[in-house]
Amino acid sequence: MRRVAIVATGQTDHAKERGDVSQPELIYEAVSRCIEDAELEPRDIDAVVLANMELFEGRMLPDLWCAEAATALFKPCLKIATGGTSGTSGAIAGFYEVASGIFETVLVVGWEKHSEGHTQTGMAMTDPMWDRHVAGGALNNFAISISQFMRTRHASPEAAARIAVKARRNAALNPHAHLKMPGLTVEQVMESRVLAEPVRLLDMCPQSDGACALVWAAEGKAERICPRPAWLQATATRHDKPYLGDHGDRLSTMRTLRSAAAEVYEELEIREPLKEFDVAEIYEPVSYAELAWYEALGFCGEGEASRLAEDGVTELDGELPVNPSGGVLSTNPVGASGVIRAAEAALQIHGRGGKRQVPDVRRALVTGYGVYSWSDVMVLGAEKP
Amino acid sequence: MTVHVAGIGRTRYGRDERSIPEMVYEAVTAALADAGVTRDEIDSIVTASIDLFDGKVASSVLITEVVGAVMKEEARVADDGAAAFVHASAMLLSGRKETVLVVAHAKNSEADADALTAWSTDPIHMQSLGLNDLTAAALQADAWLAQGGDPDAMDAVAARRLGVAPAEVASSPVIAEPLREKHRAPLVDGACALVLTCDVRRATCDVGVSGMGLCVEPHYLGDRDLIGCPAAQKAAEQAYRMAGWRPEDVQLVEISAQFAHQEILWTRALRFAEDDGRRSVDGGAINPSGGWFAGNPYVVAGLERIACAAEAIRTGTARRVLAHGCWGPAGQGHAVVLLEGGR
Repeated sequence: MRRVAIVATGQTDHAKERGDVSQPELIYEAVSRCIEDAELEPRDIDAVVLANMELFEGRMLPDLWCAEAATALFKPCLKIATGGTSGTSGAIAGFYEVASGIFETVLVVGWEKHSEGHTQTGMAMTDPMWDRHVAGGALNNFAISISQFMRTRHASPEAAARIAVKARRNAALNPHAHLKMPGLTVEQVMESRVLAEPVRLLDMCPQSDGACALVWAAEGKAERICPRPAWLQATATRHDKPYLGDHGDRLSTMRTLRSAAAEVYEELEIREPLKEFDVAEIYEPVSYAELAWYEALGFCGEGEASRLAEDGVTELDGELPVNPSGGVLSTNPVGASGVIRAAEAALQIHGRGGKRQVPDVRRALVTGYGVYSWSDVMVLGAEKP
Repeated sequence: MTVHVAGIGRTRYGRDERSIPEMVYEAVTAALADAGVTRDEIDSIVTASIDLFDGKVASSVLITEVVGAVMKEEARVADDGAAAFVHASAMLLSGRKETVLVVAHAKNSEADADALTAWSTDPIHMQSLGLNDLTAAALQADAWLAQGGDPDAMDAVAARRLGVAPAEVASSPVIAEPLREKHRAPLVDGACALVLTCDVRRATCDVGVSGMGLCVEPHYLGDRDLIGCPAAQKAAEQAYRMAGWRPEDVQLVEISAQFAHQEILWTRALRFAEDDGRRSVDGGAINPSGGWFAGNPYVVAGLERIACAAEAIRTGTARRVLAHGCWGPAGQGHAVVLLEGGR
């Protein structure tokens, strides 16, 4: 199999509303930073994969409007759209396109401009017969799943609040992040207003305007572009039944994430993920989800996630720093969020993480989450697979 | 390594009273049966659909179960089905997958295409002018006629595809000057599924993918060569380069043209027109299936062209064929796939 690595990354300055730019301009901001970062020219890019949830902005085929800003003019270009996993699925699609041998370099760009649409209306457009009138939108869905998770796993609001604090404090070290809150406390999170019991305002991810780009390059070319390429070592994707009623205990089970992680761990012979990864960038849409993902990803046993959070194991100076970027809880332009996870993990391997850099990162875990039960997993490493 | 088209399945295109999952189930089941593979033997699924047509966010959610993506990998391409085919082939060529299912669906009877395709144009400079797939095609036809395009040729193409007299086309109501109702392919419902494999033991039929190309033009009509259609040319060049073919090698062509003049423009852009002296296929070998006019839904059209091209190889009609897909106003995006028998 052809070896492929992320050799460049670039992202916008994410914010609640980027009224100063159009969608193509937002994309161009990330893309120009990405290719300049690697001292590339637009002509060095062979093909482009875009990732975006067009219904959030009420668009159709937005790749056609935005292709030129992504250097895709007169090039192969297609768009991936799988809800929250769009960004990680787009990144994986870009990997396949280089791994196929057809292209040497592929640019992946994810973006979302939530301020130009109504995201929760878009998310409420679920199955018209069964789900639309039951739990439209992310918040209600999370509230149902989290209530179950708290009961079965004894996850505490305090532990969740610690996750929320970690994310916003890490974000303060990331110049691109949307919600930077260096002084946030557990008490402030637990006293913020209830959005849908038990989810409080500061437990939730924001809706952001932003874009993120990365470049995949084939072995041989990758080393010439980047002194320390982030090689894709393994990847797996799992989709699942979409109906709320089909998932008895969705967060605590999260069988897609468990199964995808198990597949890549087996392929790479990873037995102790907490020790064998140096950093993780995981897609946590709500504070409680990060706790659930710790268990699904095998960072701890079942019911032990709260302890992991309370012991600071996943803090920036902990045994396995999770989301040094501030994660989705700090920055969430949906189509970009998965690309940001992959780009931030690659940045850690490149050793270019600035104030959020974790020392000597050899192997990084990336996850994507979407449509309440879909999962992507990627492992990036300094070593070739 | 060669990617093979191992199975083909589709619904009957037309007004379909069933739900989207029911339609897709029929196409997928038929494709799996045709390939002689079970759902367990499918490693990954690539779907093509468009949210606004389905009125549904992340619209492949509707069909996760019927395409067999429960606890499996699915990539959903929000473009024409031909782009999904190219992506599925790339997955196979990576060596990480052996068998991939590609599925496209649309239900145009439940979606007003002209209202919705307006949302694919730049909302700042184009959408407010009333541009959509129909009006952009009309401007393209106007530009072609102004440069000496023959309106009778347009009528003749539509008449041939629809099996009616040219006079009937010429007297049908104007939908957007100079386009008349019968210059446009009917908007219908349906789903198409193909099983692709690089496992020769599963390649029950002998259809190999020899070349592929994708290309996107500028978005703004004023920036584009609406008549030369360079994206169609460039997509074909990529595919020929990959296959090591010349246009003369192609014996049969399946072109995605929703409007009559587009079949003429794209036949020429792909270098199969009579007037450029390079013609290598006779008129009967261009869209013998009827093309988009035979009643293919949006999104499905490009995948259906590939399916028809593969069937032409299976039946022995041709050995080397070209299938084309396109999407966006006046055909902004193009895909070309070259298939070969006896590989």
